Amino acid sequence: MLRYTLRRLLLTIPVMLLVATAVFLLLRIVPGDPAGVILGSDATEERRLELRRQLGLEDPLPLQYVNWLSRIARGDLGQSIFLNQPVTSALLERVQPTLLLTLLASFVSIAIGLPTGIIAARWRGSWLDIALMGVAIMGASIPTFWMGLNLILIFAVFLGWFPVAGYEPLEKGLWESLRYMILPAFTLGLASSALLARITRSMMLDVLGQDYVRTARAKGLAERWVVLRHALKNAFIPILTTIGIIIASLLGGAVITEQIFNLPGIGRLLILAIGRRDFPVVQGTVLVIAAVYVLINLLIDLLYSFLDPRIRHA
Amino acid sequence: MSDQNQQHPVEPPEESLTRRDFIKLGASASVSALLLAACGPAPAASPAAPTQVSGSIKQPTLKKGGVFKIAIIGEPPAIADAMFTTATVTSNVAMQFLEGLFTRDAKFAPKPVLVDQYTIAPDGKSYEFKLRKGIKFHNGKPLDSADVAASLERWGMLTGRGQTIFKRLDTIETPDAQTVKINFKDPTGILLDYLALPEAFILPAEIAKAAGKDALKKDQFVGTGPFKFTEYIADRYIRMTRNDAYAPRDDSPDGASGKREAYFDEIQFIPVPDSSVRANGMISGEYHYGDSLPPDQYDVLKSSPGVVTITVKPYYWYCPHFNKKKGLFTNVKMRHAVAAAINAEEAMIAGFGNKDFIRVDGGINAPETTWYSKAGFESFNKPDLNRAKQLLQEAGYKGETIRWLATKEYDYNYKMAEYSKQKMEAAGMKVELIVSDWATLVKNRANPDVYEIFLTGHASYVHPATHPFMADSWPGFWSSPARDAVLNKIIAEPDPAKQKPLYDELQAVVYQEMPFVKCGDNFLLRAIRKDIVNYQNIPDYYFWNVGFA
Repeated sequence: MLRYTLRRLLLTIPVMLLVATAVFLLLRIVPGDPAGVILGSDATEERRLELRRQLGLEDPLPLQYVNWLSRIARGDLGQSIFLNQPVTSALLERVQPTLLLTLLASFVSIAIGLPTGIIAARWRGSWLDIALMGVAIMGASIPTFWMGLNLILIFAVFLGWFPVAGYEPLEKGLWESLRYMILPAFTLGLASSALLARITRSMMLDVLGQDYVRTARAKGLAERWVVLRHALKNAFIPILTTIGIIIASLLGGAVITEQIFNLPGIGRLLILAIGRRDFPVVQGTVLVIAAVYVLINLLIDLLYSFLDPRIRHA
Repeated sequence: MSDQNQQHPVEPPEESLTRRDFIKLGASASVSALLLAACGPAPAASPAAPTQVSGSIKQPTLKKGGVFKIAIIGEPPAIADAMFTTATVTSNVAMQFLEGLFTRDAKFAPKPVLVDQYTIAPDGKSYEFKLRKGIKFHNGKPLDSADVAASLERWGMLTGRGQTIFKRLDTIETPDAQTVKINFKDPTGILLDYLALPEAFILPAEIAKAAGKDALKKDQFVGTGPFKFTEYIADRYIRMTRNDAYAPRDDSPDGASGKREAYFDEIQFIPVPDSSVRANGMISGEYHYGDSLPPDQYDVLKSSPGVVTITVKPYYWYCPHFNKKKGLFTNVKMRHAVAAAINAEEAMIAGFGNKDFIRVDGGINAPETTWYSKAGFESFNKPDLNRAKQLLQEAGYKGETIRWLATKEYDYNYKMAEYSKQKMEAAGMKVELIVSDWATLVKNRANPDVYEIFLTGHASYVHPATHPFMADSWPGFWSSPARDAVLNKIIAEPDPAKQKPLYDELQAVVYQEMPFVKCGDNFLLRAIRKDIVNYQNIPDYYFWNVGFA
């Protein structure tokens, strides 16, 4: 198990190197100049060139690349051009909103998606199944931005229950912070719960048709325990994968939701940095997001072997 | 600037005369100075001009206290260092807590802030400023002339306007702690207009020197204003608190000039890049002030019980600029042909929709300013397809593709381009829209090999000499001896009365050479909550003398 984990960890190095190289090159291909963005479009040409030199943007590309890689190797993601602060501290400032959003949205997603999928599978073909899956298809089809704007309109503008947008950190109090998080969490959670419900239903249907489920029923086990203890446990691996993907994508920054709700998280940082051509921030953020994806996938793989001894012994 | 960013893709008033331009201008300034001297004495030295009473401050209804939340269009580049960047969103933030020697009144004329009395030498080559007594920086240090000299040095290094002034500068003297003397090699009548802009703020000397050409860091934002810089978290907010030690002027408020008194305990600038979120936040009461709101939400905002809409007039004007360095539009007839193909009113409606927010006017400065001119109007908005065709023929146009740089990032930009394309094609031109994001467009327009036309906006309430296109190097590359000759006279002329005919002369050159096609003015939609009193509707907003009812 330890060897397996170590091997998987070592494999992440070439993946990360590939990501680092790709993001570096892609950013250099895109036109646009960070010095121009920060100085405003009317700065003199002399000032623009002077700042470019100061920022090292006039250095030859291979030199910039090597400098960047050597900094990463030392754990330094560089200095943001636009924000005038280290990329690491810019990222750390934005971790809390993204983590909180991920946690709440995952909770909403699981709390709605999992029971919906189980109920739909248990009563397959009933009006309840059709209704729930109809709602799930709708939920998966509604674009996040549209859902977000509607939730804002109804619950913030018309009813005034929640703030329109913004963020208060946890230090300001749990409820004060949650008030700002509920609408974005539902916006994200509802969309992913639809996906989760459909996957859960499909996996449960596979399992509910298995012999051992029939055996469990035949030996007189209550239906509740048949579904929850026998069927769900065996259907859980693909469901877990889906949950993992949902969490990884949320941690990687729910760009649109963070933008609509003005949440200062990782996703918004990335999208703003692209607009600002803040190369170090884009590079650093993409690298961190890639690392999060890789690590969560690794974690899920390890969980598989924990849940299913056959994988562990294979 | 970046309405960064945000942000209206409009051009902040210029800075951008290059060194070469200014050597040229400097040379002709000397000539005009000689001419001035030959014509007789310059106006006598004048004391600080008395300010006007705006009459709109309702002091008894104002209460001290409260937190005032302002939704701005995005994160200001360089936080509040308006010397470092040309972004308007940055100078709007800076203005609340950083003060200069001068500011602008409601009619955009320079008025003293940190200066008590000033005199201008008859030859326009020397200015003496006496600073007000009892002014302290937010760190407790008293303001003195060394701070002014050091801050102006930094301004001269970083900004285009500062460079313009410093190229003409002879010496800055600080004979005592309260006196600053600025001596020029050539007459420089434009000095006060430039010093009145938010970028020419005064910092403690040690900070100005330490920062040099770098952007100011969080702990270096130390000014003298009625609010003080308190906290900054990137992409979250900039917080300022009331400066209770502020020593206000005695004269009545007039625009940003006159008495300044902070009423709010705290003001917060919150970057909200999505304009519909700013509008929703105004309706729900999340924000007290919303900058640059979408005009299509005008009716909704107007009918919201807690909201008062503000139409900012004057604001910006819009025009397609021609590439005059290379290609088809080096020929002035081609430029006139495009002008004859476009109907300015239709172009503005196409771009901005709501008629309440546009004005079809040909001035390169707004009628609300003293720089307004009607010179050249005989060539403004005279759509005539036959004339356009005739001009194309005379120019020898043979159906070459006209590459127009456009962006959908700003709705108006693409819509005006799309409209103009149809009209130009009707006149026989072949137009290709090259659509990209704004950052790419800004980069491309600096390259004369890749386009013929791009469209942008310019502030209509800034001194005409500061428009960016007055510099040869600015995209579009308008190089004109006739323009330089007039500009040079404007920069040198210290007498406002004698400046007026020069503005006419400058605008006449614009219409003769048609470096761009002025379409019209656009007004900005802002909003404020109803329980806020005393807000003055000017383009560069400020929040002193404003409070909760």
